[in-house]
Amino acid sequence: MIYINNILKIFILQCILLTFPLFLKSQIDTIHLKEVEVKELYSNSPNINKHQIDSFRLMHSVSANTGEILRFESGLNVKTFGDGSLTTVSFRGTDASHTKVDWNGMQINSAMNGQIDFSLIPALPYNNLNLFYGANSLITSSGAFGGQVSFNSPNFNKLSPFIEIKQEVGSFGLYNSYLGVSIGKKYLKSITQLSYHKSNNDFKYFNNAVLPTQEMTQQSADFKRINIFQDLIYKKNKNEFSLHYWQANAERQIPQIMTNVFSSQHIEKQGDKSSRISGTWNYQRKCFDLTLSEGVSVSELYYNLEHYSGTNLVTYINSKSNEKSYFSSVSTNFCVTNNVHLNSSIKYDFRNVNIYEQKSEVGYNVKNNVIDAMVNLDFNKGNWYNVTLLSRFVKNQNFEPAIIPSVFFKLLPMHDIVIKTSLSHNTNFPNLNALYYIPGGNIYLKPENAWQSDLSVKYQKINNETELEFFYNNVTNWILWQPTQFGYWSPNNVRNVISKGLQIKTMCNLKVNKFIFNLHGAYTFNIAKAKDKEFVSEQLPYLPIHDGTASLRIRYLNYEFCFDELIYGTRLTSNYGSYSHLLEPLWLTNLSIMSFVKIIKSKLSVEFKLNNLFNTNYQLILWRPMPMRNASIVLSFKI
Amino acid sequence: MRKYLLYTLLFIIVFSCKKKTDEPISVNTNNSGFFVVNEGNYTWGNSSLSFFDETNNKFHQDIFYEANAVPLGDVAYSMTIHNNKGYIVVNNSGIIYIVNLSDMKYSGKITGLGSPRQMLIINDTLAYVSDLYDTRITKINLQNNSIVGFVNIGHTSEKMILLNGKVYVTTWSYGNMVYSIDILTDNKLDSAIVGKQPNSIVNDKNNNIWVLCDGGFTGSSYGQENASLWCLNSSDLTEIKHFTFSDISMSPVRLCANRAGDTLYYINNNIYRMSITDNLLPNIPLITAHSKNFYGLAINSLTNEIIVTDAKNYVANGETLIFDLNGNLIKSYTAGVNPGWIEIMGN
Repeated sequence: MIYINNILKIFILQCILLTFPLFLKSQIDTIHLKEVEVKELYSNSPNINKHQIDSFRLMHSVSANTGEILRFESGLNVKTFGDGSLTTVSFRGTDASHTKVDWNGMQINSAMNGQIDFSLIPALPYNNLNLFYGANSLITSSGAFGGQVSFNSPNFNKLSPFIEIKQEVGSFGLYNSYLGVSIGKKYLKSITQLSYHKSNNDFKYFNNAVLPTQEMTQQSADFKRINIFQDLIYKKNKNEFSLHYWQANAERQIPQIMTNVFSSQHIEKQGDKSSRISGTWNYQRKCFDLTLSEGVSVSELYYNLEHYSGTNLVTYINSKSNEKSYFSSVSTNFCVTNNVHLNSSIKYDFRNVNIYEQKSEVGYNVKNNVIDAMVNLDFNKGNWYNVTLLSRFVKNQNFEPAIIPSVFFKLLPMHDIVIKTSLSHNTNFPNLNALYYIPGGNIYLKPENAWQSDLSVKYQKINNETELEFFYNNVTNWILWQPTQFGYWSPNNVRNVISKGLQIKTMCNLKVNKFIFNLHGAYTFNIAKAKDKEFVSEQLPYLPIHDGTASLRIRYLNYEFCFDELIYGTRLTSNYGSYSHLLEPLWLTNLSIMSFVKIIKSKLSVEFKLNNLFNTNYQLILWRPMPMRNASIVLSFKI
Repeated sequence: MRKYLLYTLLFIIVFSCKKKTDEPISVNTNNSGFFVVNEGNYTWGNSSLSFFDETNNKFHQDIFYEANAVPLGDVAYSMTIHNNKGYIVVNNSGIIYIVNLSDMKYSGKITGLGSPRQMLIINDTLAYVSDLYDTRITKINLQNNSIVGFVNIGHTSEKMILLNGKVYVTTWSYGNMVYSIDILTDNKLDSAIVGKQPNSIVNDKNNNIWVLCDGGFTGSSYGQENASLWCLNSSDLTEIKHFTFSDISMSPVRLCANRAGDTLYYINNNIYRMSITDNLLPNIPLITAHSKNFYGLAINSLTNEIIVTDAKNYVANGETLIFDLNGNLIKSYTAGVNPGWIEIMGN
């Protein structure tokens, strides 16, 4: 019954969202969408479907992590263990390791587990964030069965001198700070961004996983992280040189799950440090474009798990890992004729991982080299259809080369409607933990393979835009970590997943007298069936069949009101329908009110945020409590 | 303007949410049958307790949740019955839940434990709890269910038995020792070096101690050797005899003895049976696994049945199978995830 109610609610909401634009025709006022420039390392083919993240959320972020921003995008499943804790993003029923993430063209997924913790990536106002779903990710990399998340530094042309300071103070010892400074004018520009995020995270919740059930306070969940971004860009005539630096430090305690709160005193800590630097030279002529990039990254992670037994400290795990990487790429775009463009790139990626666990005295030290070459041809025939043929060649030193073909079509049957479709084969190589981790690593693993296809229809007007996408992914040789008889887990190529569904994203603006309304909505329907030999999961754990988001922003003079709605359908928490508890359908509402004043060239604003308005006791990962109603105040000043 | 107010109103109305409340239901064990402790998976919090009600021939998949409307916890590992109470050791939750055996209602808990494995009742006021990481055995006062001290054995501990005023304990995780402890003084008395990773221990009718060692696993920093079965003299832990398994890939577990103490059973992929007087390990299994993944084993001396669990692929729901003593399957039931420990009422 709850499930039916949930469907009904989603249906009602969708009806509202989808019919909303119809009423816009009667409006006289129009609001022109703010144009946002995006800097790209590779010039995209026009047939590649790229989704740009709503810049409003980035502009309003103080030190939110990127996972929190991506929660509002359709087709994405953001799993978080709590504020400041591990946050992963999966696209369209794939694994978190099938989401590739790059920063200014340099892939930053961990070579150890293939994933990235999105809680460690701050969502900063002046960085650009783009999504490439499914096969569209092949324009930048291979192996992204779900998709690619692309972070880019601010665009040269967009930068103008400013100083911006934001300060947020909120519940549970939340303390966020942001400082952005941009200088330079004609040829050389610099932007420095600094963010600091700290929270005691000691919220109250109702623990229904222990006896007797009771209200408890989250313990040992505090965290702090600091990020520094520095971008230097020099542009003159046809040349642009840029240098990007990103330093990230984070420390956090990992709390017990709700069932374990009565054990002896638990101390679980994780520290992450990373330094990344990349440089790019871009040379642009009318019909030729050349980009050279180099990048280096050094990261360190420690993890420590201890318990006090009486007064005796007992160490369970004490591990440390280091990862060093070097990246180099060359890409060119060339007009063969007016209608035919040839794009190509070649990337080299080197990783060195050293991991050691002191308690059991095991670890590995491995180097890995990957070469990834791409060529694509765009045929732009007339005004109503385009075709792109793309192929990648990837050689990982441990595996046979993979050839990855794909084809993209773009149709413009009417002025307001764009239809895009793609079909590709893709290959993802096993990560180093899967191959070498002790115990459990399996050097006999094969690469994972996928067929990806999608079809999107986009209706676009000045004040409203709706996009409907259908997708189908078939992943074979999916690497699954499974328990063994010895208690440890080991990966094997046992899983076959067919994931299919649709996603809808809609947005519209309207102005009524002095009110400006802005409505965003997203809905995803996703069925992902997994078969692991004779064991079948009708739906992958933690992937809701239905989920959606909706945001309503109302601006009146110097005030802004924002309602955010997050809706999750029922989520299974185990494979094969095996014994576990369900996560019930969930509706969360966040509210914010902002007021600002402009004094000459400066802007001063104050914002009040109220999260989890209806005080819902909920979990996104089973037995990991999330905060109930909480609030914060943000003061911003920009000159 | 009304249209937009209506939309805004609808937008907010749709926010309403519904909360599901789970209530416990009445259960009755009839004090006859056996429990299966389903470990679940580490950090998933999906442990459960199954119960076979022999009176009604009914299998409850999660009797703890039925009775208390709360999950059992994270990696429930073992269960001990004493004085009409059930003590369920939940390893990664660091807790021992105490339930009334008749209706499985919660009656207390023992908290503050690190990584408890097995609870051994010494007498009405004292119990020992072994630990996977702590090098001390924890002493529990059963009158107030609190920790009252520790027995330092210098190594982590696993399975324990009580025999003639001594506790015999194995050091499974990265260990190869068996210790005896005087329950009056808590002093370590004797020790014996056996094979690598002694995982189970029983005594026979001659008061000898039998210890089964799995030999470790491939890639372990502790090393790996062929599994072995040891017979020790309980008075001083000297070796009487030992057997070595022929293939290093063999990893036998769950050594059991029948009530008479003259026959041993264990899992080595299949189920094997041997007499305590045998001089060779058995070659022919009593029960062949075929496609099953045998994980738990117990001998029900009350019904003359062999209870075996199948852990499938360690993530799917397991199965509980009941065989007669000749290895013929009588019945089977779906259990929870990783059904391991079997505790029989009145056995």
